[in-house]
Order: sequence, then C-alpha cells, then structure tokens
Amino acid sequence: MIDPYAALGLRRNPFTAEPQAGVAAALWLERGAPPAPQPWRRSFTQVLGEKGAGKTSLLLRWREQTGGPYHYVPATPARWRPPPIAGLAYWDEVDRMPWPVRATALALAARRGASLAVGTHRDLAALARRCGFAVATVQFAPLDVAAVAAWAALRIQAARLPGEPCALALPAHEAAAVAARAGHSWRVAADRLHMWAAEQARLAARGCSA
Amino acid sequence: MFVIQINEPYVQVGETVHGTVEWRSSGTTPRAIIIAAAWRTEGRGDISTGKAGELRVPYDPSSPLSGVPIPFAFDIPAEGPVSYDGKLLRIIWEIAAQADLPMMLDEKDALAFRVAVRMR
Repeated sequence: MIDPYAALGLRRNPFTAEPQAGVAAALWLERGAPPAPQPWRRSFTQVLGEKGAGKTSLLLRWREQTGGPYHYVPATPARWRPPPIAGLAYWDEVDRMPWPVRATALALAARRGASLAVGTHRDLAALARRCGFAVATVQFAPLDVAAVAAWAALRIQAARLPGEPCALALPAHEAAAVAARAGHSWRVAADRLHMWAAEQARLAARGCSA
Repeated sequence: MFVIQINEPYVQVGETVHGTVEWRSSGTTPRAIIIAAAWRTEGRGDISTGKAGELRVPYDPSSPLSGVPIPFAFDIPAEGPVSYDGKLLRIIWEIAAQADLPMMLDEKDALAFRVAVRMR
C-alpha cells in the first residue's frame, strides 16, 4: 500500500510535529488558562513549566490576541541579545538569558511601566517583584485522560481525508496510558500518540482489525 | 486542479519513475508548470526534504498548458532514500506538481509513490 494512513481515512499521521511553533486555532484545547495580559500594567506573567508543557503555545496564542513583540532566547551566544520592551512584550525561554541581561531588561521594563509575558523553566517571581512588577504565575496541570482524548480527537479530525470515513479513534485505556506516561508534556504525549497511530495504520493497511 | 498519473507506483532505487501531470485551469494562466520527484520526512522530528529531479514547463501562448498531459521521467538516486513508514518517522516520495500563478498563491498537488531497495 502506498499510504497506510489512507486505510484509516487519514491524509497523514495526526500527531506529526509542526514545523512552526504554536498551535493552529482549530486545534487549540482550552484548559483553563487565564486571559492574555494587558499592556502597560507593569505586570509580569510567567508561564512556568517543563519542556513540552505548552508554554510557547500559550504565549503565542495570547500574542495573536494582543500583538506585541515576541522574543525567543536561544541556547547560543545570541541569548545575550537584549529583549524588546513594549506595552506588552513576549519573552520565551527567559531562564536562558544571562542574569545581567535578564536583570537589566526587567528593571528597564518595570521603569517604563511595561507588561511582560514570559515562558520559563524557572520561577522568576522573586526577581520580577524586586523590579516592581505585579506577578502572576501560570502553571499547567498534568495531562489527564479527558485532555489527552480531546486533544487527540481534534488532531485526528484535522487529518481526515475529505469525504472518507475515519477508522481511527483513541480508546480510553490508550488515553490513560499516554496521560500517565506524559506527565506535563504534550510533546511526550504526541510522541506516544504518533507511535500508536502508526501501529494502527500498519494494521489497517494489512487488513487486520485494531 | 492537477491530475497526476504515475505509471508504476512502486520503483526501486536507481530506477526511473514515469508518468504524466495534467493541469486543468479554472481561468488562470500560469507562468509555468513545475513537476518534481521529491522526498520529505514526516513525523516527530525536524522536516528534511530532497529532490531527485525537476521539470519546469514555461507558459507558451502557442501551446496551452491547461488540459495537456505533461510527461515526466525522473531517475531515483541509487543511494535513495527509500520510502519508510516508521513509528516516529516516515520518508515519503511524491510527484509534486505546482502551477506558478501570477499575483496569487501557486496551486499545488502531490501524489505519493514508493521507492524500495534494489532487489538482486
């Protein structure tokens, strides 16, 4: 068979990695995150979590609503580049910033009354408060069965072949296993789901029942 | 819209994939029709791509492109890659067709075929 996923009524594996950061609006799953910060409030909203938890996705979703510069701090010497300051600016991977750059940028932003929304692996609340910001922290709950099932359903729907019945549906026991394995990480969940969907495609292409 | 036909959807590395691409205009006149044999990865990692060959057929007022099957023949490299469907990664070979349209998004389509190892 040329494409095993066609046997399931799909254009591709629903859980492929996207080449660009962020989540398309049609695939966004609401999980109780607060609304986007407001500009010029001297507020520091930190999205705190481990790799794959959805920090960048939430920052970019807010940015779609508010606008404002987005600054990604790479794990290279470019991390020394000063970040932009605006009414509301988005800084991602802020814990990678060398501390002199971070402390100076935060002090400048606070002095101007700017608002910041940051993604970070480390809690920066104490530093932000010392600079004069009002601090809010967003943390993600571990993935649960309902969230994994809903997230998977959105992606399966998006990968369907037009006009074709879809034979792929995530059973509850698989969703539970993925949630248990993934912890807080959507990335780990997506890896597991990709493997599960690949196996279902292989079985379907061979004419076996899943 | 494109109608892509591949004569033999299963080829081995080092062989040639043949077929035709027909573009049916919905009123636009393309600058060219571009046909390629290309591979790409898909899955949980970064995307890699490559091409085995490309054919560009420019617009000629005396010879309309719409409704005319354009034959292609591309040699698949002996070194591959071969088509692969894995649990975290796929390698997908396609005949990719593109209509280079002025002042608008190009129209694109693709049809997959399989590249296998050479059987002795």
